[in-house]
Amino acid sequence: MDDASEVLRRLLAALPGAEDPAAQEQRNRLLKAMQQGPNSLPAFFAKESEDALRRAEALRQALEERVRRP
Amino acid sequence: MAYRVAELRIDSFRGFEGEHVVPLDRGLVIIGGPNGSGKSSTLNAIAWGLAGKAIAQKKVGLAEIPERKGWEVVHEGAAGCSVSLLLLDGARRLTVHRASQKNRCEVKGSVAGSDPLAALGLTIDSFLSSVFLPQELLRGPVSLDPKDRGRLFLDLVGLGAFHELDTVLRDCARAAKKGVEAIEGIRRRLDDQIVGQVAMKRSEVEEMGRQAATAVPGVDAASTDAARGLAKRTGESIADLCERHGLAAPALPEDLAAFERAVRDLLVQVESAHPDMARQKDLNLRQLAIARLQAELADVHKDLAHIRAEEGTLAAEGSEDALKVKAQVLQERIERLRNEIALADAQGEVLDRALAYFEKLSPGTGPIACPVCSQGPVDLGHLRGHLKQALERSGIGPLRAEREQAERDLAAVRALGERHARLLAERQRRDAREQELRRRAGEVGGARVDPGEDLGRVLQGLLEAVERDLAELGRRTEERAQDVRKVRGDLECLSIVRRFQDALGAIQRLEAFAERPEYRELQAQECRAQALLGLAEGLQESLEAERNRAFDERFKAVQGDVSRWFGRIIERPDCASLRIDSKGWTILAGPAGREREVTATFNVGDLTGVALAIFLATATRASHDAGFVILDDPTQGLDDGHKARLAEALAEVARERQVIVASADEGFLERLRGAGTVERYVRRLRPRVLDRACEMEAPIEEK
Repeated sequence: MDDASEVLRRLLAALPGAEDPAAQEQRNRLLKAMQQGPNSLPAFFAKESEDALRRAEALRQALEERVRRP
Repeated sequence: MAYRVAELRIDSFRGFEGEHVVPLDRGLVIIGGPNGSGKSSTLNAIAWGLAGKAIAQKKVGLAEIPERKGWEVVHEGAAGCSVSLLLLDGARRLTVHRASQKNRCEVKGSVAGSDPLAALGLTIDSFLSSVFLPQELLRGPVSLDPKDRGRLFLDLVGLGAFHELDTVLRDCARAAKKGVEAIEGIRRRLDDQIVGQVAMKRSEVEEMGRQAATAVPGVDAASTDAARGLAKRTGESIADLCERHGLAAPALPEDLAAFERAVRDLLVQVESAHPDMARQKDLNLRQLAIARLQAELADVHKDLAHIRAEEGTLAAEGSEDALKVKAQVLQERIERLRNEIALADAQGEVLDRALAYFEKLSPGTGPIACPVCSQGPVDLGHLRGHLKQALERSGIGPLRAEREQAERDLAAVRALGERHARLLAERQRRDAREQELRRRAGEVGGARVDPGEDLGRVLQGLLEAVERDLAELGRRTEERAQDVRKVRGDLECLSIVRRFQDALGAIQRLEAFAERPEYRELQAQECRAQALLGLAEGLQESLEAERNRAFDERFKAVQGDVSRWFGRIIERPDCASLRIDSKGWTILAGPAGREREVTATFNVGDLTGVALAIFLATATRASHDAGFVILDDPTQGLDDGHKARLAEALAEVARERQVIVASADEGFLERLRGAGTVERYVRRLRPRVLDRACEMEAPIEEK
């Protein structure tokens, strides 16, 4: 029988685009999160998205100041 | 051989209050009873005993079964529940005891630890595909929703893990998409702001271009040389201003904005902090002081006129020395009169004492007639009155009148003397004040004013000198103001051109905003979020492909059996060969190469038949150690004929493995009791009365 974690690991390995270092790093983090089981993945994706969003929000504040005073 | 369930012990599980022992050791176990009597609870007790909380959750194993949400295993009011199972395989004996408290499970008779499924060589997926068919799963095909059908088919071939992953990846994609949308929103808002700022700056550039054309005709405002030329002109203007007004020429910065600020600061200094400003202030103060001195001098002159007039009046009354002599004479006369009056008073006193003497000398003599006025009889007081009148008449009265007149004259003479003294004091005060005015005039003029000089004239001279200086200062101030205006004019031209160039520069910087490291970093974050979404979606797509591939593979292995079991249960000669298309979860029938889709033509019973056929095909081919199948209400949507066929099919399965089946359908149960030749055991549950727990009747054993 197929174990969900094993299936997921197999799918991830077969996914194209792994040659990109950033993508590879992201996948490594995903693999690390998968050690907690497949149910921990939504939290991983939410955290990754929130990290990117938080950084984008900080950049927006800095950039808006630059836009106001170019 | 494989294990069969020999006995079930239930304690406070779901509808069952207290402990119940259910013997199950027969090839076919039929559990009947009306709805709510505990049939499903009995089967679920076996499933929970073997699989634990995996069977009681909504999304694990039994993927998304709404009925399992908030599924409580403990009987209402009980502290906990437990289920014990005895499984036998000839001489082999396996016991399972699971309790809700601390989620405890004990397995005896196996080396696989405390997991009963592992002891039977099962996983939750294989348990659901080949051992236990809960009634909820049979509703999947009935709903005709491809997704629900697919879920059922996957469970039935033991690929339940794909459910879990599908749900998980859908949640992942949702979270990633939310992040992508939020970051895209941020970047788009920023882009909009940039576009808006560029438009605003363009408008400013147009306006400043017009101003520049008016302020500095013939100058190309966009040219850097033009700005430098204007800066040079302004610098020369201010150097000229400094030279003309005796100021130190400042070093001005190269940067045009800083240059402008420096020049403006300098102009403020020229206008408000020039030495002439202090000089003007000093002159104004002197002008004010002189005016005040003149006013005070006028007061002094007025006082002098008043003193002189009063002195003229006093001169008619006599000089001060004459008044002193006159006062001396009057004083002496008053003294003399005072002596004479005292003498007369002494004479009166002597006569008065004489009368008293006579009064004491003749005590027995009564009152007699007055010898002066013949009035009588009178006493000595009367005579004393005559004596007083005689004394007044003889001279003391005139003396007193004369003395009083002399005293009045003396007071008048003294009053004149006092006026003389007061005028003298006033004259002295006036002199002192004039002296003070001279001193102050000396301070204002910077030179001593001699007592002989006319103070009024001196003050007038000082005032005229101050006014001359002020006029000169005003002229210089006006010249300076003209110079400042010139610098300001130059500066304004420079400012217009510089702001025009700044706005142009701002537009260039805004247009090149995408090159900024922060903007690139923002784009990188957007790419990161998109990559995350791509990862989730890629995994979803791969999962779907992998799932379809795995399903096709698994289904192919049992396809013949599925068709056979379907033919046993459902009478459809046109569907002798069945196949499930995993792409759309449709059902195909017919020989290879001439298959046709029959999903839309299948009724509820047919679809239930497909699900049962897949389950039985998988269950009868399974090689694990669980030699039993459990079916809960398997007749959903089947008519009487198909129920009979299902009963026969289950009796056939019961020859190989134990079949435990629950149903509320009396007809089906009767058919099942009559089908086949297997040893069977029927347990009927009593209808449950509201608020009472499930009860069991005595079992009916049939051979």
